[in-house]
Amino acid sequence: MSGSKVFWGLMIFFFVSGISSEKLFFTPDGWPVPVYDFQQNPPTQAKFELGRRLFYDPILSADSSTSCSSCHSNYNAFTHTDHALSHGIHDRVGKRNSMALFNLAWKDAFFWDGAAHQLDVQALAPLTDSNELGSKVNEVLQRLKTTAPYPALFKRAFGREEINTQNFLKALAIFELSLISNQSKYDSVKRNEAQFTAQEKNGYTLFLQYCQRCHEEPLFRKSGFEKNGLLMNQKLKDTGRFNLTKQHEDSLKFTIPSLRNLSYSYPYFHDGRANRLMDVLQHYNTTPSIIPFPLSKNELIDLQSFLLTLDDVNFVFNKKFGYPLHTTSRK
Amino acid sequence: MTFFKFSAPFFLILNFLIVCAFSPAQSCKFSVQFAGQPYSMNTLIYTPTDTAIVMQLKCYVRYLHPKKQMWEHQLLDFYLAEKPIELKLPRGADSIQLFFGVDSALQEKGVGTGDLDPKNNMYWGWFPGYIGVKVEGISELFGGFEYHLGGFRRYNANQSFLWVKPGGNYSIDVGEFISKIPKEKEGKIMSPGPEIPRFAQYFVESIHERK
Repeated sequence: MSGSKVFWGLMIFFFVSGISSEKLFFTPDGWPVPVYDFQQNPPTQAKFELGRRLFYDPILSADSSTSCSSCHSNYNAFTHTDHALSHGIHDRVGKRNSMALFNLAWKDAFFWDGAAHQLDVQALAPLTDSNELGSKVNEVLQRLKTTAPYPALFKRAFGREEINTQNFLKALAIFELSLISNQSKYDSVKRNEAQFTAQEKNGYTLFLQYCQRCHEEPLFRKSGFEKNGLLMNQKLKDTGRFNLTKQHEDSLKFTIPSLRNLSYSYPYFHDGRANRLMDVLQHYNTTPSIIPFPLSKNELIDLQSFLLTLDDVNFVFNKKFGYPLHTTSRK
Repeated sequence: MTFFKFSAPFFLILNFLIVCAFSPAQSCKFSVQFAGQPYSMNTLIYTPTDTAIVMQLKCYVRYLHPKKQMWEHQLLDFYLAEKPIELKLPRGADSIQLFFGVDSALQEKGVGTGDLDPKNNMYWGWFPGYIGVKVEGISELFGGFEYHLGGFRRYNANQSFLWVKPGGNYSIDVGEFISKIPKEKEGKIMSPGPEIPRFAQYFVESIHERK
Protein backbone atom coordinates (compact mmCIF):
# COMPACT_ATOMS: atom_id res chain seq x y z
CA MET A 1 0.00 0.00 0.00
CA SER A 2 1.42 3.37 -0.92
CA GLY A 3 2.15 6.04 1.69
CA SER A 4 -0.46 8.41 0.33
CA LYS A 5 -3.18 5.76 0.57
CA VAL A 6 -2.29 5.09 4.20
CA PHE A 7 -2.30 8.82 4.88
CA TRP A 8 -5.73 9.40 3.32
CA GLY A 9 -7.08 6.25 4.95
CA LEU A 10 -6.02 7.55 8.35
CA MET A 11 -7.46 10.99 7.58
CA ILE A 12 -10.82 9.47 6.67
CA PHE A 13 -10.75 7.24 9.79
CA PHE A 14 -10.04 10.16 12.12
CA PHE A 15 -12.62 12.32 10.35
CA VAL A 16 -15.36 9.69 10.62
CA SER A 17 -14.50 8.65 14.18
CA GLY A 18 -14.33 12.31 15.16
CA ILE A 19 -17.82 12.93 13.82
CA SER A 20 -19.18 9.79 15.49
CA SER A 21 -17.82 10.59 18.93
CA GLU A 22 -19.02 14.19 18.65
CA LYS A 23 -22.51 13.01 17.86
CA LEU A 24 -22.58 10.36 20.56
CA PHE A 25 -21.63 12.48 23.53
CA PHE A 26 -20.29 15.94 24.13
CA THR A 27 -20.23 18.54 26.88
CA PRO A 28 -21.74 21.81 25.65
CA ASP A 29 -19.71 24.95 26.32
CA GLY A 30 -20.22 26.27 29.80
CA TRP A 31 -21.78 23.09 31.13
CA PRO A 32 -20.37 21.30 34.19
CA VAL A 33 -18.22 18.19 34.03
CA PRO A 34 -20.40 15.08 33.58
CA VAL A 35 -20.95 12.88 36.61
CA TYR A 36 -21.04 9.66 34.57
CA ASP A 37 -17.76 7.73 34.51
CA PHE A 38 -17.12 7.31 30.78
CA GLN A 39 -13.87 5.46 31.45
CA GLN A 40 -15.93 2.50 32.64
CA ASN A 41 -18.11 2.64 29.55
CA PRO A 42 -16.59 4.53 26.63
CA PRO A 43 -19.22 5.60 24.08
CA THR A 44 -19.08 3.94 20.66
CA GLN A 45 -21.40 4.00 17.70
CA ALA A 46 -21.98 0.25 18.03
CA LYS A 47 -23.06 0.57 21.68
CA PHE A 48 -25.31 3.47 20.76
CA GLU A 49 -27.03 1.51 17.98
CA LEU A 50 -27.46 -1.53 20.23
CA GLY A 51 -28.74 0.59 23.10
CA ARG A 52 -31.21 2.38 20.87
CA ARG A 53 -32.54 -0.90 19.54
CA LEU A 54 -32.92 -2.30 23.06
CA PHE A 55 -34.65 0.88 24.21
CA TYR A 56 -37.35 0.55 21.57
CA ASP A 57 -37.73 -3.24 21.65
CA PRO A 58 -40.71 -4.73 23.55
CA ILE A 59 -38.76 -7.98 23.77
CA LEU A 60 -37.53 -6.63 27.09
CA SER A 61 -40.97 -7.04 28.66
CA ALA A 62 -42.39 -10.31 29.99
CA ASP A 63 -45.09 -10.50 27.30
CA SER A 64 -43.18 -8.63 24.56
CA SER A 65 -45.75 -5.84 24.64
CA THR A 66 -43.94 -2.97 26.31
CA SER A 67 -40.62 -1.29 25.74
CA CYS A 68 -38.71 1.47 27.51
CA SER A 69 -40.09 3.82 24.86
CA SER A 70 -43.66 2.95 25.87
CA CYS A 71 -43.22 5.34 28.78
CA HIS A 72 -40.29 7.32 27.34
CA SER A 73 -41.34 8.48 23.89
CA ASN A 74 -38.87 10.58 21.95
CA TYR A 75 -41.67 12.94 20.87
CA ASN A 76 -42.34 13.71 24.51
CA ALA A 77 -38.73 14.44 25.49
CA PHE A 78 -38.54 10.77 26.47
CA THR A 79 -41.43 10.71 28.88
CA HIS A 80 -45.14 10.09 28.28
CA THR A 81 -47.93 12.63 28.15
CA ASP A 82 -50.94 10.38 27.75
CA HIS A 83 -51.30 9.35 31.37
CA ALA A 84 -50.24 10.53 34.80
CA LEU A 85 -48.62 7.28 35.93
CA SER A 86 -46.43 4.91 33.95
CA HIS A 87 -48.19 1.99 32.28
CA GLY A 88 -46.83 -1.52 32.01
CA ILE A 89 -47.64 -5.03 30.83
CA HIS A 90 -51.20 -6.40 31.09
CA ASP A 91 -52.59 -2.84 31.40
CA ARG A 92 -51.01 -2.45 34.79
CA VAL A 93 -50.35 1.01 36.14
CA GLY A 94 -47.19 2.00 38.00
CA LYS A 95 -46.85 4.26 40.99
CA ARG A 96 -45.16 7.31 39.51
CA ASN A 97 -45.10 9.65 36.55
CA SER A 98 -42.38 8.58 34.13
CA MET A 99 -39.48 11.02 34.08
CA ALA A 100 -38.19 12.81 30.99
CA LEU A 101 -34.81 11.50 29.84
CA PHE A 102 -32.13 13.90 28.69
CA ASN A 103 -28.81 15.29 29.93
CA LEU A 104 -28.45 12.21 32.11
CA ALA A 105 -24.65 12.27 32.22
CA TRP A 106 -24.96 15.15 34.68
CA LYS A 107 -27.24 13.29 37.10
CA ASP A 108 -25.99 11.49 40.19
CA ALA A 109 -29.33 9.98 41.27
CA PHE A 110 -32.23 8.61 39.26
CA PHE A 111 -35.98 8.23 39.76
CA TRP A 112 -38.16 10.64 41.74
CA ASP A 113 -36.61 9.52 45.03
CA GLY A 114 -33.05 8.94 43.83
CA ALA A 115 -33.32 5.18 44.36
CA ALA A 116 -30.80 4.40 41.62
CA HIS A 117 -27.37 5.83 42.31
CA GLN A 118 -25.94 5.15 38.87
CA LEU A 119 -27.28 5.35 35.33
CA ASP A 120 -26.20 1.83 34.34
CA VAL A 121 -28.25 0.16 37.07
CA GLN A 122 -31.42 2.26 36.87
CA ALA A 123 -32.86 0.23 34.00
CA LEU A 124 -33.14 -2.81 36.30
CA ALA A 125 -36.03 -1.27 38.26
CA PRO A 126 -38.56 -0.74 35.43
CA LEU A 127 -37.32 -3.91 33.73
CA THR A 128 -38.19 -6.13 36.68
CA ASP A 129 -41.14 -4.25 38.20
CA SER A 130 -44.31 -6.31 37.76
CA ASN A 131 -46.23 -3.11 36.99
CA GLU A 132 -43.84 -2.09 34.24
CA LEU A 133 -41.88 -4.50 32.01
CA GLY A 134 -42.34 -7.38 34.46
CA SER A 135 -39.30 -9.35 33.30
CA LYS A 136 -36.60 -11.32 35.00
CA VAL A 137 -33.08 -10.35 33.99
CA ASN A 138 -32.03 -13.89 33.05
CA GLU A 139 -35.14 -14.32 30.90
CA VAL A 140 -34.39 -11.09 29.04
CA LEU A 141 -30.80 -12.19 28.42
CA GLN A 142 -32.05 -15.54 27.15
CA ARG A 143 -34.49 -13.88 24.74
CA LEU A 144 -31.74 -11.62 23.43
CA LYS A 145 -29.37 -14.56 22.95
CA THR A 146 -31.90 -16.32 20.76
CA THR A 147 -33.10 -13.32 18.79
CA ALA A 148 -31.28 -12.02 15.73
CA PRO A 149 -29.55 -9.69 15.29
CA TYR A 150 -28.74 -9.22 18.98
CA PRO A 151 -25.82 -11.69 19.21
CA ALA A 152 -24.19 -9.91 16.25
CA LEU A 153 -24.94 -6.46 17.66
CA PHE A 154 -23.47 -7.37 21.03
CA LYS A 155 -20.38 -8.74 19.31
CA ARG A 156 -20.00 -5.52 17.34
CA ALA A 157 -20.44 -3.42 20.46
CA PHE A 158 -18.39 -5.43 22.96
CA GLY A 159 -16.18 -7.69 20.87
CA ARG A 160 -17.92 -10.86 22.01
CA GLU A 161 -21.21 -12.51 21.17
CA GLU A 162 -21.75 -13.22 24.84
CA ILE A 163 -24.75 -11.30 26.09
CA ASN A 164 -24.51 -10.49 29.77
CA THR A 165 -26.19 -8.09 32.16
CA GLN A 166 -23.32 -5.65 32.34
CA ASN A 167 -23.07 -5.16 28.59
CA PHE A 168 -26.84 -5.02 28.23
CA LEU A 169 -27.00 -2.21 30.79
CA LYS A 170 -23.97 -0.41 29.37
CA ALA A 171 -25.46 -0.32 25.88
CA LEU A 172 -28.74 1.08 27.18
CA ALA A 173 -26.79 3.67 29.17
CA ILE A 174 -24.81 4.84 26.14
CA PHE A 175 -28.02 5.46 24.20
CA GLU A 176 -29.51 7.36 27.13
CA LEU A 177 -26.33 9.38 27.65
CA SER A 178 -26.47 10.51 24.04
CA LEU A 179 -29.81 12.24 24.70
CA ILE A 180 -28.40 15.72 25.09
CA SER A 181 -30.78 18.64 24.94
CA ASN A 182 -28.95 21.95 24.42
CA GLN A 183 -30.55 23.43 21.32
CA SER A 184 -33.37 25.47 22.85
CA LYS A 185 -33.96 29.16 22.24
CA TYR A 186 -32.46 29.81 25.68
CA ASP A 187 -29.26 28.07 24.54
CA SER A 188 -29.21 30.15 21.35
CA VAL A 189 -29.55 33.33 23.40
CA LYS A 190 -26.68 32.23 25.61
CA ARG A 191 -24.58 31.66 22.49
CA ASN A 192 -25.56 35.13 21.22
CA GLU A 193 -27.37 33.58 18.27
CA ALA A 194 -30.85 34.81 19.27
CA GLN A 195 -32.56 37.27 21.57
CA PHE A 196 -35.34 36.97 24.12
CA THR A 197 -38.52 38.92 23.54
CA ALA A 198 -39.32 41.54 26.15
CA GLN A 199 -41.77 39.13 27.78
CA GLU A 200 -39.25 36.28 27.85
CA LYS A 201 -36.61 38.62 29.22
CA ASN A 202 -38.91 39.69 32.03
CA GLY A 203 -39.73 36.02 32.66
CA TYR A 204 -36.01 35.22 32.84
CA THR A 205 -35.54 37.91 35.49
CA LEU A 206 -38.39 36.38 37.50
CA PHE A 207 -36.91 32.93 37.00
CA LEU A 208 -33.57 34.05 38.42
CA GLN A 209 -35.36 35.58 41.38
CA TYR A 210 -37.70 32.73 42.26
CA CYS A 211 -36.75 29.47 40.56
CA GLN A 212 -32.98 29.45 40.09
CA ARG A 213 -32.39 28.30 43.68
CA CYS A 214 -33.52 24.79 42.78
CA HIS A 215 -33.43 24.83 38.98
CA GLU A 216 -29.86 25.92 38.32
CA GLU A 217 -28.69 26.89 34.85
CA PRO A 218 -27.72 25.45 32.44
CA LEU A 219 -29.31 22.09 33.32
CA PHE A 220 -32.26 23.76 35.07
CA ARG A 221 -32.12 21.24 37.88
CA LYS A 222 -29.69 20.43 40.65
CA SER A 223 -28.67 17.41 42.69
CA GLY A 224 -30.61 16.66 45.81
CA PHE A 225 -34.23 16.49 46.85
CA GLU A 226 -36.73 19.09 47.92
CA LYS A 227 -40.29 19.36 49.16
CA ASN A 228 -42.54 20.89 46.56
CA GLY A 229 -45.42 21.69 48.88
CA LEU A 230 -47.76 19.08 47.43
CA LEU A 231 -49.93 17.16 49.87
CA MET A 232 -49.48 13.40 49.83
CA ASN A 233 -51.52 11.58 47.24
CA GLN A 234 -53.74 9.49 49.52
CA LYS A 235 -54.15 6.74 46.97
CA LEU A 236 -50.46 6.32 46.16
CA LYS A 237 -49.10 7.11 49.66
CA ASP A 238 -45.80 8.07 48.09
CA THR A 239 -43.45 9.51 50.71
CA GLY A 240 -40.68 10.22 48.20
CA ARG A 241 -37.12 10.23 49.48
CA PHE A 242 -38.29 9.03 52.91
CA ASN A 243 -39.05 5.69 51.32
CA LEU A 244 -35.31 5.19 51.00
CA THR A 245 -33.75 6.99 53.89
CA LYS A 246 -36.43 6.55 56.58
CA GLN A 247 -35.45 10.03 57.78
CA HIS A 248 -38.44 12.19 58.69
CA GLU A 249 -36.86 15.29 57.18
CA ASP A 250 -36.93 13.48 53.82
CA SER A 251 -40.66 12.87 53.89
CA LEU A 252 -42.31 14.13 50.69
CA LYS A 253 -38.98 15.22 49.23
CA PHE A 254 -38.54 14.45 45.55
CA THR A 255 -35.83 14.94 43.00
CA ILE A 256 -35.67 18.34 41.32
CA PRO A 257 -36.58 17.77 37.68
CA SER A 258 -35.17 19.79 34.81
CA LEU A 259 -37.29 22.60 33.42
CA ARG A 260 -36.15 21.93 29.87
CA ASN A 261 -38.70 20.66 27.35
CA LEU A 262 -41.73 21.33 29.53
CA SER A 263 -44.03 21.70 26.51
CA TYR A 264 -43.40 18.07 25.61
CA SER A 265 -43.25 16.46 29.03
CA TYR A 266 -46.54 17.12 30.80
CA PRO A 267 -48.17 16.02 33.08
CA TYR A 268 -45.98 17.39 35.87
CA PHE A 269 -44.92 16.32 39.35
CA HIS A 270 -44.10 12.83 40.60
CA ASP A 271 -47.70 11.68 40.36
CA GLY A 272 -48.58 13.60 37.22
CA ARG A 273 -51.28 15.58 38.97
CA ALA A 274 -50.80 18.82 36.98
CA ASN A 275 -51.56 18.82 33.29
CA ARG A 276 -50.78 22.44 32.50
CA LEU A 277 -47.61 24.37 33.17
CA MET A 278 -49.67 27.26 34.50
CA ASP A 279 -51.18 24.90 37.10
CA VAL A 280 -47.66 24.19 38.35
CA LEU A 281 -46.83 27.90 38.52
CA GLN A 282 -50.10 28.60 40.32
CA HIS A 283 -49.24 25.87 42.83
CA TYR A 284 -45.96 27.55 43.70
CA ASN A 285 -47.66 30.93 43.71
CA THR A 286 -50.25 29.89 46.27
CA THR A 287 -48.47 27.36 48.49
CA PRO A 288 -47.23 29.04 51.65
CA SER A 289 -44.71 26.33 52.56
CA ILE A 290 -42.60 27.08 49.49
CA ILE A 291 -40.41 30.19 49.18
CA PRO A 292 -42.47 33.37 48.64
CA PHE A 293 -43.63 33.46 45.07
CA PRO A 294 -46.00 36.39 44.95
CA LEU A 295 -46.36 36.87 41.22
CA SER A 296 -49.14 38.68 39.45
CA LYS A 297 -51.06 37.05 36.64
CA ASN A 298 -49.01 38.92 34.05
CA GLU A 299 -45.77 37.97 35.75
CA LEU A 300 -46.80 34.32 35.74
CA ILE A 301 -47.39 34.58 32.01
CA ASP A 302 -43.98 36.18 31.54
CA LEU A 303 -42.35 33.44 33.58
CA GLN A 304 -44.14 30.79 31.55
CA SER A 305 -43.01 32.43 28.31
CA PHE A 306 -39.41 32.21 29.49
CA LEU A 307 -39.80 28.57 30.51
CA LEU A 308 -41.04 27.79 26.99
CA THR A 309 -37.73 29.06 25.61
CA LEU A 310 -36.27 25.91 27.16
CA ASP A 311 -38.14 23.74 24.66
CA ASP A 312 -35.69 21.97 22.38
CA VAL A 313 -37.49 21.03 19.19
CA ASN A 314 -34.25 19.84 17.58
CA PHE A 315 -33.76 17.35 20.37
CA VAL A 316 -37.32 16.12 20.55
CA PHE A 317 -37.65 15.51 16.83
CA ASN A 318 -34.11 14.31 16.23
CA LYS A 319 -34.48 11.11 14.22
CA LYS A 320 -31.14 9.91 15.49
CA PHE A 321 -32.89 9.17 18.76
CA GLY A 322 -36.07 7.80 17.20
CA TYR A 323 -37.31 4.29 16.52
CA PRO A 324 -34.44 2.44 14.79
CA LEU A 325 -36.38 1.37 11.71
CA HIS A 326 -37.23 4.98 10.92
CA THR A 327 -33.64 6.10 10.71
CA THR A 328 -31.23 5.97 7.83
CA SER A 329 -28.51 4.35 9.92
CA ARG A 330 -30.18 0.96 9.61
CA LYS A 331 -29.84 0.89 5.85
CA MET B 1 26.90 -11.56 42.76
CA THR B 2 25.70 -11.22 39.19
CA PHE B 3 24.36 -14.76 39.33
CA PHE B 4 22.39 -13.94 42.50
CA LYS B 5 21.08 -10.70 41.00
CA PHE B 6 19.60 -12.45 38.00
CA SER B 7 18.53 -15.66 39.68
CA ALA B 8 16.76 -14.10 42.69
CA PRO B 9 13.50 -13.39 40.81
CA PHE B 10 13.58 -16.94 39.44
CA PHE B 11 13.87 -18.44 42.94
CA LEU B 12 11.15 -16.16 44.26
CA ILE B 13 8.76 -17.31 41.53
CA LEU B 14 9.79 -20.94 42.09
CA ASN B 15 9.16 -20.54 45.82
CA PHE B 16 5.71 -19.09 45.10
CA LEU B 17 4.86 -21.96 42.76
CA ILE B 18 6.02 -24.55 45.32
CA VAL B 19 3.94 -22.92 48.06
CA CYS B 20 0.91 -22.90 45.76
CA ALA B 21 1.46 -26.51 44.72
CA PHE B 22 1.84 -27.84 48.25
CA SER B 23 -0.83 -25.68 49.94
CA PRO B 24 -4.01 -27.68 49.57
CA ALA B 25 -7.20 -26.04 48.38
CA GLN B 26 -9.31 -25.05 51.34
CA SER B 27 -13.00 -24.62 51.90
CA CYS B 28 -15.74 -24.61 54.46
CA LYS B 29 -19.35 -25.69 54.10
CA PHE B 30 -22.72 -24.10 54.78
CA SER B 31 -26.03 -25.88 55.30
CA VAL B 32 -29.48 -24.95 56.58
CA GLN B 33 -31.24 -25.82 59.79
CA PHE B 34 -34.51 -24.76 61.38
CA ALA B 35 -34.78 -24.33 65.15
CA GLY B 36 -31.80 -26.57 65.68
CA GLN B 37 -32.94 -29.34 63.32
CA PRO B 38 -31.31 -30.14 59.96
CA TYR B 39 -33.48 -28.80 57.15
CA SER B 40 -34.03 -29.46 53.43
CA MET B 41 -35.27 -26.43 51.49
CA ASN B 42 -38.90 -26.34 50.37
CA THR B 43 -39.99 -29.13 52.71
CA LEU B 44 -42.27 -28.88 55.72
CA ILE B 45 -40.50 -29.14 59.03
CA TYR B 46 -42.17 -29.94 62.32
CA THR B 47 -40.57 -28.71 65.53
CA PRO B 48 -42.08 -28.98 69.04
CA THR B 49 -43.46 -25.45 68.68
CA ASP B 50 -43.75 -24.74 64.98
CA THR B 51 -44.45 -26.04 61.49
CA ALA B 52 -42.63 -24.20 58.75
CA ILE B 53 -41.34 -24.16 55.20
CA VAL B 54 -38.40 -22.12 53.90
CA MET B 55 -38.74 -21.32 50.21
CA GLN B 56 -35.83 -18.98 49.65
CA LEU B 57 -32.47 -18.61 51.34
CA LYS B 58 -29.74 -16.69 49.59
CA CYS B 59 -26.92 -14.59 50.87
CA TYR B 60 -23.75 -12.98 49.63
CA VAL B 61 -20.56 -13.69 51.53
CA ARG B 62 -17.21 -12.06 50.94
CA TYR B 63 -13.70 -12.08 52.29
CA LEU B 64 -10.67 -9.96 51.59
CA HIS B 65 -8.23 -12.19 49.73
CA PRO B 66 -4.93 -11.91 51.63
CA LYS B 67 -2.73 -12.02 48.54
CA LYS B 68 -4.89 -10.22 45.98
CA GLN B 69 -6.15 -7.66 48.50
CA MET B 70 -9.48 -7.80 46.71
CA TRP B 71 -12.90 -8.84 47.92
CA GLU B 72 -13.90 -12.32 46.81
CA HIS B 73 -17.69 -12.63 46.63
CA GLN B 74 -19.79 -15.76 46.49
CA LEU B 75 -23.55 -16.15 46.41
CA LEU B 76 -24.79 -18.92 48.68
CA ASP B 77 -28.10 -19.99 47.13
CA PHE B 78 -29.75 -22.84 48.98
CA TYR B 79 -32.85 -23.01 46.75
CA LEU B 80 -31.76 -26.13 44.85
CA ALA B 81 -28.86 -27.13 47.07
CA GLU B 82 -29.21 -30.82 47.91
CA LYS B 83 -26.01 -30.86 49.94
CA PRO B 84 -24.04 -28.28 51.90
CA ILE B 85 -22.67 -25.40 49.81
CA GLU B 86 -18.92 -25.24 49.65
CA LEU B 87 -17.16 -21.92 50.04
CA LYS B 88 -13.60 -21.84 48.72
CA LEU B 89 -11.14 -20.16 51.05
CA PRO B 90 -7.66 -18.84 50.29
CA ARG B 91 -4.81 -21.32 50.56
CA GLY B 92 -2.76 -21.22 53.72
CA ALA B 93 -5.20 -19.23 55.87
CA ASP B 94 -5.98 -20.56 59.37
CA SER B 95 -9.20 -18.59 59.63
CA ILE B 96 -11.01 -16.03 57.53
CA GLN B 97 -13.19 -13.11 58.47
CA LEU B 98 -16.30 -13.73 56.40
CA PHE B 99 -18.53 -10.71 55.80
CA PHE B 100 -22.15 -10.90 54.71
CA GLY B 101 -23.43 -8.73 51.87
CA VAL B 102 -21.69 -7.08 48.92
CA ASP B 103 -18.75 -4.70 49.34
CA SER B 104 -20.06 -1.13 49.46
CA ALA B 105 -17.31 0.34 47.26
CA LEU B 106 -18.12 -2.21 44.57
CA GLN B 107 -21.81 -1.30 44.74
CA GLU B 108 -20.96 2.34 44.08
CA LYS B 109 -19.57 1.30 40.70
CA GLY B 110 -22.69 -0.54 39.53
CA VAL B 111 -23.29 -4.19 38.88
CA GLY B 112 -20.89 -7.11 38.67
CA THR B 113 -20.64 -10.36 36.75
CA GLY B 114 -20.78 -14.02 37.79
CA ASP B 115 -22.34 -14.40 41.22
CA LEU B 116 -22.80 -10.62 41.30
CA ASP B 117 -24.84 -10.59 38.09
CA PRO B 118 -28.27 -9.05 38.74
CA LYS B 119 -29.80 -12.01 36.92
CA ASN B 120 -29.41 -13.86 40.23
CA ASN B 121 -32.35 -11.76 41.48
CA MET B 122 -30.33 -10.25 44.29
CA TYR B 123 -30.25 -6.70 42.94
CA TRP B 124 -32.83 -4.24 44.19
CA GLY B 125 -34.67 -2.26 41.55
CA TRP B 126 -36.36 0.61 43.33
CA PHE B 127 -33.70 0.73 46.04
CA PRO B 128 -29.99 1.13 45.46
CA GLY B 129 -27.61 -1.81 45.45
CA TYR B 130 -27.69 -5.50 46.18
CA ILE B 131 -29.80 -7.50 48.57
CA GLY B 132 -27.27 -9.12 50.90
CA VAL B 133 -29.56 -11.66 52.55
CA LYS B 134 -32.88 -12.98 51.25
CA VAL B 135 -35.00 -15.28 53.44
CA GLU B 136 -38.57 -16.21 52.52
CA GLY B 137 -41.03 -18.80 53.80
CA ILE B 138 -44.04 -19.53 55.99
CA SER B 139 -44.14 -20.41 59.66
CA GLU B 140 -47.15 -21.35 61.75
CA LEU B 141 -45.61 -19.49 64.67
CA PHE B 142 -44.35 -16.38 62.89
CA GLY B 143 -46.58 -16.24 59.80
CA GLY B 144 -45.34 -15.63 56.27
CA PHE B 145 -41.95 -13.96 56.10
CA GLU B 146 -40.05 -12.14 53.39
CA TYR B 147 -36.85 -10.62 54.65
CA HIS B 148 -34.62 -8.80 52.16
CA LEU B 149 -31.67 -7.22 53.94
CA GLY B 150 -29.37 -4.76 52.20
CA GLY B 151 -28.20 -1.17 52.06
CA PHE B 152 -24.76 0.30 51.58
CA ARG B 153 -24.66 4.02 52.07
CA ARG B 154 -26.45 5.61 55.00
CA TYR B 155 -27.47 2.20 56.35
CA ASN B 156 -24.59 -0.12 55.63
CA ALA B 157 -25.85 -3.66 56.15
CA ASN B 158 -22.64 -5.26 54.93
CA GLN B 159 -20.55 -5.02 58.08
CA SER B 160 -21.61 -8.19 59.92
CA PHE B 161 -19.03 -10.92 59.89
CA LEU B 162 -18.22 -14.40 61.11
CA TRP B 163 -14.81 -16.01 61.55
CA VAL B 164 -14.72 -19.28 59.63
CA LYS B 165 -12.08 -21.98 59.50
CA PRO B 166 -11.03 -24.21 56.64
CA GLY B 167 -12.81 -27.54 56.95
CA GLY B 168 -15.50 -26.01 59.14
CA ASN B 169 -19.19 -26.88 58.79
CA TYR B 170 -21.65 -24.10 59.46
CA SER B 171 -25.43 -24.12 59.67
CA ILE B 172 -27.71 -21.16 59.06
CA ASP B 173 -30.63 -21.51 61.44
CA VAL B 174 -33.59 -19.86 59.70
CA GLY B 175 -35.94 -20.54 62.63
CA GLU B 176 -33.62 -18.78 65.04
CA PHE B 177 -33.19 -15.83 62.65
CA ILE B 178 -36.89 -15.20 62.09
CA SER B 179 -37.56 -15.47 65.82
CA LYS B 180 -35.19 -12.51 66.37
CA ILE B 181 -36.98 -10.16 63.97
CA PRO B 182 -39.48 -7.93 65.86
CA LYS B 183 -43.15 -8.79 65.38
CA GLU B 184 -43.88 -5.20 64.33
CA LYS B 185 -42.23 -5.95 61.00
CA GLU B 186 -45.18 -8.30 60.28
CA GLY B 187 -42.93 -10.65 58.38
CA LYS B 188 -41.86 -8.09 55.79
CA ILE B 189 -38.58 -6.29 55.33
CA MET B 190 -38.18 -5.12 51.77
CA SER B 191 -36.13 -1.93 51.94
CA PRO B 192 -32.99 -0.46 53.48
CA GLY B 193 -33.28 1.41 56.76
CA PRO B 194 -31.70 2.16 60.12
CA GLU B 195 -32.65 -1.22 61.64
CA ILE B 196 -31.27 -3.34 58.83
CA PRO B 197 -27.63 -3.52 60.02
CA ARG B 198 -28.98 -4.91 63.31
CA PHE B 199 -31.12 -7.48 61.51
CA ALA B 200 -28.12 -8.46 59.39
CA GLN B 201 -26.26 -9.05 62.65
CA TYR B 202 -29.13 -11.29 63.81
CA PHE B 203 -28.66 -13.33 60.65
CA VAL B 204 -24.97 -13.85 61.33
CA GLU B 205 -25.68 -14.69 64.97
CA SER B 206 -27.99 -17.43 63.69
CA ILE B 207 -25.10 -19.24 62.02
CA HIS B 208 -23.46 -21.94 64.10
CA GLU B 209 -20.49 -24.18 63.64
CA ARG B 210 -21.41 -27.85 63.68
CA LYS B 211 -18.97 -29.98 65.60
